Amino acid sequence: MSGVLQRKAGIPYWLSLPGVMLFGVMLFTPLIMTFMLSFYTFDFYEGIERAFNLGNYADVLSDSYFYEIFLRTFGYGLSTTVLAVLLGVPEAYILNRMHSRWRAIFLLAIIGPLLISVVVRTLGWMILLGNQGLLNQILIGSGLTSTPFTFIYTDFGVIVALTHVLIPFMVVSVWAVLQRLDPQTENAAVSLGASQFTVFFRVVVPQAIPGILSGSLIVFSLATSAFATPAMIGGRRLKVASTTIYDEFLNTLDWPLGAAIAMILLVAIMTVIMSYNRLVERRYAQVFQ
Amino acid sequence: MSFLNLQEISKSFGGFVAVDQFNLEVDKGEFVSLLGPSGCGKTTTLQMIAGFLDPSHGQIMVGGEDLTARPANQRNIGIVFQSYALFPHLTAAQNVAFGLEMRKATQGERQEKIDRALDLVHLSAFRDRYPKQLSGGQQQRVALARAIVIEPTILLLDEPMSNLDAKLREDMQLELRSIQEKLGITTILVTHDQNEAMALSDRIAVMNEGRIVQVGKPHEIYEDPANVFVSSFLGKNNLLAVEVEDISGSKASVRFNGQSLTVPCREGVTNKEAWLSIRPEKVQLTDKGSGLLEGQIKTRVFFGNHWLYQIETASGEFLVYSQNTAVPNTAPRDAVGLNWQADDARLLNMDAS
Amino acid sequence: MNKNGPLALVFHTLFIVFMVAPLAVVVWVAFTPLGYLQVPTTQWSLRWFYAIFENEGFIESFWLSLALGIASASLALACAVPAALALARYSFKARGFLVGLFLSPLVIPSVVLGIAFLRFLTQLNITGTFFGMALCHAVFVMPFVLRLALASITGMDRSAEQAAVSLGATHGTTFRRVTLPMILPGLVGGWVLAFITSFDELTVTIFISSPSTTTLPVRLFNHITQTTTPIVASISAVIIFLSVAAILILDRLYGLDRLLVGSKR
Ligand SMILES: Nc1ncnc2c1ncn2[C@@H]1O[C@H](COP(=O)(O)OP(=O)(O)OP(=O)(O)O)[C@@H](O)[C@H]1O
Ligand SMILES: [Mg+2]
Repeated sequence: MSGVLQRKAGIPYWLSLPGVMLFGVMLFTPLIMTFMLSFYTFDFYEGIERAFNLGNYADVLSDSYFYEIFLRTFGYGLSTTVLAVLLGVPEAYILNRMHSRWRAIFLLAIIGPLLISVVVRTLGWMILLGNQGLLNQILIGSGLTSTPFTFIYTDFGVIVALTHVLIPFMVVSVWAVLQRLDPQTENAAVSLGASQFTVFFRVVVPQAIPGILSGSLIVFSLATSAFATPAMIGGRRLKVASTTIYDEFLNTLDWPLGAAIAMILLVAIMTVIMSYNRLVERRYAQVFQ
Repeated sequence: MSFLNLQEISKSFGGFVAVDQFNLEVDKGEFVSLLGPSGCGKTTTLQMIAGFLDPSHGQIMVGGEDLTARPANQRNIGIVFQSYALFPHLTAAQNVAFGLEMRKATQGERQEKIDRALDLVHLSAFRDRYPKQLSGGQQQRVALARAIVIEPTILLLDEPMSNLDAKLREDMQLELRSIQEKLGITTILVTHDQNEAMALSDRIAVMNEGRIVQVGKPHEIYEDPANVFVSSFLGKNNLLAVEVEDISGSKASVRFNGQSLTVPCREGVTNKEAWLSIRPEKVQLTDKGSGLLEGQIKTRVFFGNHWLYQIETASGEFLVYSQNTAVPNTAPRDAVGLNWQADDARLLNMDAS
Repeated sequence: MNKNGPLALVFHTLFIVFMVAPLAVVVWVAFTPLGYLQVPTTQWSLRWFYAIFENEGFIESFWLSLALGIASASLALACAVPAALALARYSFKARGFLVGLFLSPLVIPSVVLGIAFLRFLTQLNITGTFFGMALCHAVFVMPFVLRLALASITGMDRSAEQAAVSLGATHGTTFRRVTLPMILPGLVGGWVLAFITSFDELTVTIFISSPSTTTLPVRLFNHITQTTTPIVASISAVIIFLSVAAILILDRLYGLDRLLVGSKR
């Protein structure tokens, strides 16, 4: 069958055509238009003017206000990634050592939330972290503190909620790798005299690195482009790139400036992803694969 | 007293008994194989010696010390796993170094031992390769080097050759035996390959369904199997149903086909009905009418150094190996006689015990 | 082979609590009789669940999200199946580029997609139309469908097709009677995943929805940022119930880990 079809070279292109048309019209064109939009000018009275100048980029890149926003954005991304690694990797390891029946249940509890709207999950954290929230009630009730802690509208609150939202990706991608490891390598290390601790850090973690790296990449890029969680927990004060773009588009109506910020965010994230991939390929190509 | 002493060890998983009252004594420097069909509990036994499984009952003694409760990482036992279990993120040399690091060996000592171990397995040129960059045979030798570099008290090998092709397997068997003899290390090999077990071991422990059936030198077990299971698991044999007339000491007189024969007999044969077991290479083809048994040649197959005959007799099918010394003058459908020395036959109980 | 030590089990328990607590607390609060977001301790009430039915906006949004999910998942599936066949069965020049193109919505930040769609729809003057929104959603759910379609097509045993052809089936019949049934579980899984993704989506949709076409997550988000009546909790609780049901079904059907991790090699 394949032999006959392969001679007709046009077929794969015809088959891909619907998808290509959808993406050409609905993705490629809008992105190009947005890119052009970022060079237009905006005036409060005149509205958007067709132009080509770098004014918006100059505005963003010369204003310490925007620096702070980008710094915060990537700070959240980095902290969330680190937390996800610190918590997600041991959890994936523990899951992998469990009896398969239990593992199936807990895996469901951990990755199931990925299919529940981020708005709902973040609402949970708003309720937990609020000044009258459950966490403060518990803290005060147990006598650990007399005045409520401020969790909400703080960096801490945003990072915790982001970690909760994104950590399933880390657990899942690390677990996917661990699952394929030869469990005998752990026994081999033990027979050579290694302790449980040594086995984890010297044998398991190094082998799990491809999973940790791909998990980190997903968590980092989603954390830096997150919108709902920083908007709901961070509020007006702790603006990140996404919420700033939202404000420019729907409140200030300075679309060109918003588009410029979006382009910078896009380029920054793409740069991180690509250099990361490059690094991973160079460093680990010979060991794995 | 022996060096390694497995006393009555048993292991059950839930209600299933995987290893049942296993007794084995191994001397220092001895090479013992555990041989048995798949699922008979070989790996389980090995894992208990290594400390990865706790025996449900029994004791494991090494050099007079009770190791039963000692954690696996303090037993100083080297293992080569069936999958090799090399650390994929470490080079060959780093793999070998791992156990030395755990023992806090000094840098100099470490280097020297790694060099020596890699040299022993002829891998010095490959020290900086990762496992993925090594062939199956090379990986296996790294695994061996990693296990012996820590100078373990016992070396355990779990079907180390099963992933190698036939030619490489033979080479590695010879190499393994010579390394083991050079180091004088007490070794236990798990295998279900009877040739491997016979070629390598000082002694073989044949297992079936979690129990040891027979222990002994390869030649002894082959020549004098304890029961039908052992005789058919190790090599081929022909079984002839006979009637036991009289047993006196280690001789028994048996009847079949209206003739009497006096044959060697193990202790424990009691039944009136028993099997007479004769190895195919011990049977000679003779002219029609002059054998202990008469039959007709069904097939004849050439194996290089010998011919294999399948012969139809009144008491069932017989296998005969005959040395390839000259072009045989027999052909399929020829009627022939089968003959053997009475001393080459063995009398075995009909039931498997 | 449960070999986890006590320390590991403590860690694991805390981790599961961390994962489940925010969801549990939402469900808990949904049963409050009070007028603000507070966990009920002494009294329970279904008041805020009844309130949902009196809120036409939320009901409308629910139906819109449902329709949008069905339309966009189906559109994406219609584009993804032939594309996946092409990508899995043929080696052609543009193959690598097309894989990258179809998976690209996964790496483009949602806000960027959102403003790009907004800009595009405004230019065409179709902002806030169901048609425009469905097209946009189809784009960003496409990777999910494509990945699963690709996995099931490449994982499929080709000899069954060859057998059908050898028995005299035409290529069309072979596809309908052999290929399609064999890859169907993957396609269904992909469709459901796409549907859920579309149904739950906020960041893109918030840019392209209008007051008359507001999806459920968008309305919920707007509501939460403006007021704090417990109706947001009862609606979230309903979403959680529905999602859990979907999760369990998906897990049965396809295995959740396989669905979300994607079958690697
Ligand atoms: N963890 C376990 N739980 C339950 N049963 C087990 C477990 N491990 C092994 N068994 C059972 O114990 C028996 C012996 O297993 P073992 O792995 O020791 O066999 P083996 O002799 O090494 O076989 P093979 O030659 O196939 O490797 C088998 O029937 C197996 O099913
Ligand atoms: Mg085994």
